[in-house]
Amino acid sequence: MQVVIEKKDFGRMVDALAGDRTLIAPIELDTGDLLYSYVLEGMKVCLETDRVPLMSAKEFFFESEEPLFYFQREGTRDWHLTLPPEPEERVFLGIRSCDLKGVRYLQQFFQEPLKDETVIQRIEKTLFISLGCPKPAPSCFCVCCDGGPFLNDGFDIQLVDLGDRFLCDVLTAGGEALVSEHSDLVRPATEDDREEKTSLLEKVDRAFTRRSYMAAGVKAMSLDSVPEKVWSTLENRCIGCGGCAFVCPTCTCFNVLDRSDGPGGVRVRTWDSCSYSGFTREASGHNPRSRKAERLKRRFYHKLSYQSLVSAGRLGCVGCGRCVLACPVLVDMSTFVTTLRDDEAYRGHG
Amino acid sequence: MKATICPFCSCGCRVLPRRSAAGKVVGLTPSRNHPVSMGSLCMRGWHAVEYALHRDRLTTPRVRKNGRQVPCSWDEGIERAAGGLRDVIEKHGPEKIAFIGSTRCSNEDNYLMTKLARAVIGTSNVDAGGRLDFFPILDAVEEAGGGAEATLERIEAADMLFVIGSDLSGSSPMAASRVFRALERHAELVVVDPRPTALANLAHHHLRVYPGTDRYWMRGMMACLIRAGRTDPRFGPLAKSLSHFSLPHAQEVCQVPLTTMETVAERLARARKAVFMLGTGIHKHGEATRHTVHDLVRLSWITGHMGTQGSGIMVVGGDNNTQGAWDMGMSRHRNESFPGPPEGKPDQGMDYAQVIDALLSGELRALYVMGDDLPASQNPLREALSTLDLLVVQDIFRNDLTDLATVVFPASSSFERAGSFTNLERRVQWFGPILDPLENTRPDWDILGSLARSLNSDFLFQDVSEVTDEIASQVPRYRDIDSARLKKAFNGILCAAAGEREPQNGILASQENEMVPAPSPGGEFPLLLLSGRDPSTWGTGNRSSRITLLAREATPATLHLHPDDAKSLGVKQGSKVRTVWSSGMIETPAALSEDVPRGLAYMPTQRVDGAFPLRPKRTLPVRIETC
Repeated sequence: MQVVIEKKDFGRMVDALAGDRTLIAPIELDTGDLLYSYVLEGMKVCLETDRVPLMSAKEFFFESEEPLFYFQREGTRDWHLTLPPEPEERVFLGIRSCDLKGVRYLQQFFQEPLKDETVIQRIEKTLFISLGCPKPAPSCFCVCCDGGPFLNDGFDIQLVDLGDRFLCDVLTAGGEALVSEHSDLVRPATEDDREEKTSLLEKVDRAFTRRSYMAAGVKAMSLDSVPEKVWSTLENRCIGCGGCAFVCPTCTCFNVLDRSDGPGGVRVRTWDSCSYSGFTREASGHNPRSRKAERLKRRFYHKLSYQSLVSAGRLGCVGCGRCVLACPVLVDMSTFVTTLRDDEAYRGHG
Repeated sequence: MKATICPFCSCGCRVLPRRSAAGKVVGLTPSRNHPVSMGSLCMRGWHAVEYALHRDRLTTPRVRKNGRQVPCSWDEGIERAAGGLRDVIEKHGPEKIAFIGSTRCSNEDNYLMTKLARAVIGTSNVDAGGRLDFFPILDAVEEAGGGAEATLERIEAADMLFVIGSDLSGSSPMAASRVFRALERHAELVVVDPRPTALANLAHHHLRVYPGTDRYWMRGMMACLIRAGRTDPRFGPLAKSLSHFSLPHAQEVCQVPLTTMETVAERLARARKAVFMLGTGIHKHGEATRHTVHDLVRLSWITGHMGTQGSGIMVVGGDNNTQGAWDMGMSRHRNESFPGPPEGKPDQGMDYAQVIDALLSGELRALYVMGDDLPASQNPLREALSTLDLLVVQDIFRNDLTDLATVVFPASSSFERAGSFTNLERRVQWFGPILDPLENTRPDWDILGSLARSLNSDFLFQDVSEVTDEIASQVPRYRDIDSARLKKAFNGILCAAAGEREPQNGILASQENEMVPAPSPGGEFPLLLLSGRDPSTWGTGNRSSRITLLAREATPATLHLHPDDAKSLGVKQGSKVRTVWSSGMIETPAALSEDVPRGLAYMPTQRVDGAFPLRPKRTLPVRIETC
């Protein structure tokens, strides 16, 4: 089903959604940055696509720190365990195509072989109104990664920005139910609307300025043929901030620890990064990936290699470009694969 | 402003809170529109907020009664501290009281502490821990005058970059980020460090200078240029003072090959824009630090990089407010309009090192410390602190020092309050609260204000903005940088740079020819121990050790030796060794590495602060024993 909503009416729909559901959307901060956030009072929802939200949508499903269970000592021997409340129903408005691809990647990761009920429920209980990208940012390369700029599936509703109106691709029963709630604001799409979408899609592909040669990366990582000097340059650049993992829609490294205070506490899962040496250091002190180069290699292997691609069902990168934006020292996916294609650029300095 | 500034290094990244559906802060993210963070953070920044949420936070004022510390009300604590200060003033005079501020606290906190000490108590004994590392460098840069200030933007646009005595990737990551951007634009990088830092491995020229001998390569380069006739006649006095400078001797002392000195000097003279990043690696003692900085100023001047657009010196590696604390009066360069001491009292009191000496000799009767980790676990300082009439400590965590205090005030962390910090490029930045105040804690400036009022002074500050506004009217560099402007400026406001003017002529005229010889270990202590820092531990780790992933990354203290030295000492990889110096020792495992030059030993010291001598030294003659 395809319907159209005028932009002047869209605000009313957003207000209605924020009023009666838990709504997540990109909001504009005072600094001019965009950030996906629970829409709280006074926040300004922003559906522009040429500014990429600071973080991916990951944190609403695989949270940066989440309680797994609470524990309380009872008497001298027994422990009373409590589970956190079950995830609630939410609407995620304005999730970018790449970020939604990232959520589907997480869904697969947390589904098999071991199922993480909470993450899966959070995803299943969220209605996704995704935002196709008519204007990619200079850091974007989803077009090289099967990550966008528009999607054919995976969303409940997809918004296609046609200037003064959104064409809504409605794919699921949940999406249809939401549209019917707002039937006063929408009209059926016409052939003209559909044609405009088709021509927009053609135009958008040419608007990408960043080329990321993913095939070069897949080949080099699958065959382990990356020259040592590339790794040593990357290793001397990388400051080990872990930022690439935190902003990445598909990174799933985590740590588990107890935050306890006397007789009670909480076991939490927090984000972690495979670029940290402590991530792989064993209790004996031995570290199978003690060199930073080995850790970086692991990261790119997991995103790019044929072996990983087979197990994940897709490339481990959706081309959102956040590592391009967050890495302070140019150790990002796009620069890396481009380097492998054109080794000349990586002769290093000096 | 619903954003804060990272409280760790002197880069000053703008960080924004990420919140749960209930509005609780669950983490941080960097602003992409900010000229420092530009969308990035280092490991410390990503995890910074965790320490503020740690259960170890101090939440009750405490006073010592009958030898034991007990919880008390704020009023009682303030009254006890004020009463104690009054007693010492009456019995011994205000010069028996010293104040220690903090390079981690805000401009407002440090300004009020200076004002409290000087204008209310009547002592000029006020300084901060920065005196032991960065303040002498800032003093010398300030003394050298105009044009000695670079910005991050200048690093990125420069065509020649010097990183001297700093492992920049760990200590000032956003400056390192700009270095990489400059390299993409084909800038030339010179790293001066005895060890191969990550940046040194990518540099065009790595000058593996012998520790403590930087003046020799600086003067060597100047002599090369002067002798090649590459300098302006107006530098005549300098040329004259270098006429007897022996280049072969310089090469021998500093271990930088003469050909390298010639090449780099020539490249520097040709460069259009050069930025010099200076870390504590050049730190010596007393006048030697000053003379080293002055030689760098001379070198940059004769090569056309002083007082010119796009060049300059930047002091890297400090705390979030090293520059601000210095500007707020924790320095020897206070402007006359700064709140002064009463008539007849000296304008310069004891500095940090002198305060420690005076504590040890029993000369001081009271000490007031705000957010500084004085190494209180060690004797004889521990004993000296315990015998004071009054020790007042404001901090966010319990530590060895708070345990010894007569009065302890629980302070708010920067995440729970507002104020301003000044970064390494002198960008003054407002930070607003992103967390609710932790119950029963107060901002440092507010604690000092209450205390001053209790001492019958007219500190009528109701809000931190009023302190900021007083700074804007009292501190010339901060003229017109008032709270209204700061609160609107997410990118901060760069302090008026001294401008693109010529540096102080005195720097050229004063020759400062006497050179301190290279440290020559020998006899009982034949190796020179070089200290370094582990980027996952900040300062003494008071905050960073309470961040899970940072604590996990921290490397245990290890002594690194060159394999040849290890062999002659009978030390094997992983074997336990004892490092002994004139006043102490530490036992650690050894690691063999060709990264360490022969004759030197290397240890990241921050995890073992407690065991090191009171005056942190970049180098220390030691002997290694196997155990």
